[in-house]
Amino acid sequence: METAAVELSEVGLCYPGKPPVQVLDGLSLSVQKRSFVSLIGPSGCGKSTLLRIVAGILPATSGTVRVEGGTALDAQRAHRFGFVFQDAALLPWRSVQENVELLGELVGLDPAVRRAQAAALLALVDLKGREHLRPSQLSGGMRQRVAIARALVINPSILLMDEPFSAVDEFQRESLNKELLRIWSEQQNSVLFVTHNIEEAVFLSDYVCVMGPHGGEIVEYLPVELDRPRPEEVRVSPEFLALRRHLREILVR
Amino acid sequence: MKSLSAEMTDRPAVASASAQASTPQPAPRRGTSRVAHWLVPIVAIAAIIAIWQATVVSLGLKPYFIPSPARVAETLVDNGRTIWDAAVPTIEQAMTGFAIGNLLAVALSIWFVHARSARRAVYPLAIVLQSIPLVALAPIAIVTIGTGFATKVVMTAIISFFPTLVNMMRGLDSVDHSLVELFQSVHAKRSAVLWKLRWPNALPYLFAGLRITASASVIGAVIVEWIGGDQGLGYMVINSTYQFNTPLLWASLVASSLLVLAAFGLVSLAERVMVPWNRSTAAGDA
Ligand SMILES: Nc1ncnc2c1ncn2[C@@H]1O[C@H](COP(=O)(O)OP(=O)(O)OP(=O)(O)O)[C@@H](O)[C@H]1O
Ligand SMILES: [Mg+2]
Repeated sequence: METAAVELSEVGLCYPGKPPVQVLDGLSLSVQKRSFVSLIGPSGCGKSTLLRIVAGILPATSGTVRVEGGTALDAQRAHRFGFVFQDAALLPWRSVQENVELLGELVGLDPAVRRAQAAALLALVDLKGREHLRPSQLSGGMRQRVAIARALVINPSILLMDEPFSAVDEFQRESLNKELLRIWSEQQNSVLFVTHNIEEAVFLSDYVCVMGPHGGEIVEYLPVELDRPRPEEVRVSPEFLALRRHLREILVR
Repeated sequence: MKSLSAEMTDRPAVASASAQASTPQPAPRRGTSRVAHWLVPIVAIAAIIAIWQATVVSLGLKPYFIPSPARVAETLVDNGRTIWDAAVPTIEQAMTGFAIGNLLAVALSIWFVHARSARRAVYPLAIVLQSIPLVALAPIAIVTIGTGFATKVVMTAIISFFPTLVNMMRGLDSVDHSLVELFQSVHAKRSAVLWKLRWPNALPYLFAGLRITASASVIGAVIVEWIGGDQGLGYMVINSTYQFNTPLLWASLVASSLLVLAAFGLVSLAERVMVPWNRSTAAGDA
């Protein structure tokens, strides 16, 4: 069997402090290569913490974390991760183009290569012609698209997205969802996607992973067996609505 | 005109720090034209000068008591050469102290980013030193180092040091945490985090510090000359006081404040060039 993109077993995390906060306890989860997995759960259950652990930003205090067969830090050193945050977190002093090139600079990509790569990605996220604008001159949705392009510039095999579309309105979210699926089908990376939006989770994912309110246990690992590519109409199909209802019941309970 | 961006609210430190130094002025609002923006303070200053002139003339006040603005201007022109000769050493020591104090502050703030314990050890000392008033520190410096150039430079350097240190530390610290994590997620070097993230983030804060210290170093230089000097604008102030040459006293005061304005203007100009992404903040104080 192929090694999983991300394999967490019995992972625990305790933030030090008085008193220490045990956020995750004995959490196991695996993300297969090239699959799209959403994480959904009540606020404060540890979703962002989990992404940080996977990216090797925060070391787990117990359990094991394997990323593509190695440790999270190995994967970090090999530049396997693309991270997208809730707030686009662009550098205000850089133009759109320079923002997209940032990670390329950090990992030492050849300038010509990263310039070409950034230009291609900006076309992919539909921002051609806006290369020289500053982030303050963009709309929220455009900023988020820049953030996605920025994450992709180093060709990461694992995309970690922490509520990337929670700050944009419903319509923009739907169009960004569609765009993300298109990008993902071209890039073929594995995605771990945190969201609060059930519909978004179902529309995007191969699996929706529901976290419980405390201790970060996974209360449901729900496969979404809807054909891809998924047209907009899938959102009103009976299968889709059934999955939505099922998730709502778990989350509201 | 560009609309006010979100950055303005993102940077409270800059706004508050620069507010200490700059004269309160309404920020350019949408709809207010550029001309009106400059016209208001000019009209206000002109009005004050006119009232001053009218009062002196109508009450028949003697020049050795309060000279009229016209008389001050006349003195300024007649003694242009003397005043300029006095201003040169003031400018020299202000600029030298400004450069040394700010360079030290910037270097120290960068060191503090990487050395938390050094920061805990040195920072409180710096705060204590800052709380000593200049007029108390100057005589000590004069007694120990003498009345020469070195003393004056040390004093203006001390004045220039703290506002920039405090601003720089805040600027280097106040980076978006998500961005630090983004850098970490690709295993970026600490030097990359410093030069590609913290340093540019701190530039608007640096300029807030520079704007304060540019004016303060000139004022400090004048005060040190006033306390114990044998040349410079501060010396001219005290000399003309003893000679009851009130018009010259006023003229040297005007010359000093013109210097302060020039220093402030130069820094604001440099800020516009070097921190173009922060235009909204710069425009508020310019
Ligand atoms: N640096 C920290 N120190 C101590 N506790 C923390 C820290 N960061 C997060 N926590 C705590 O850990 C818990 C989980 O936080 P986390 O940000 O992972 O939640 P989340 O699931 O992403 O929530 P949300 O959906 O609101 O973003 C919260 O209770 C939070 O208070
Ligand atoms: Mg979160």
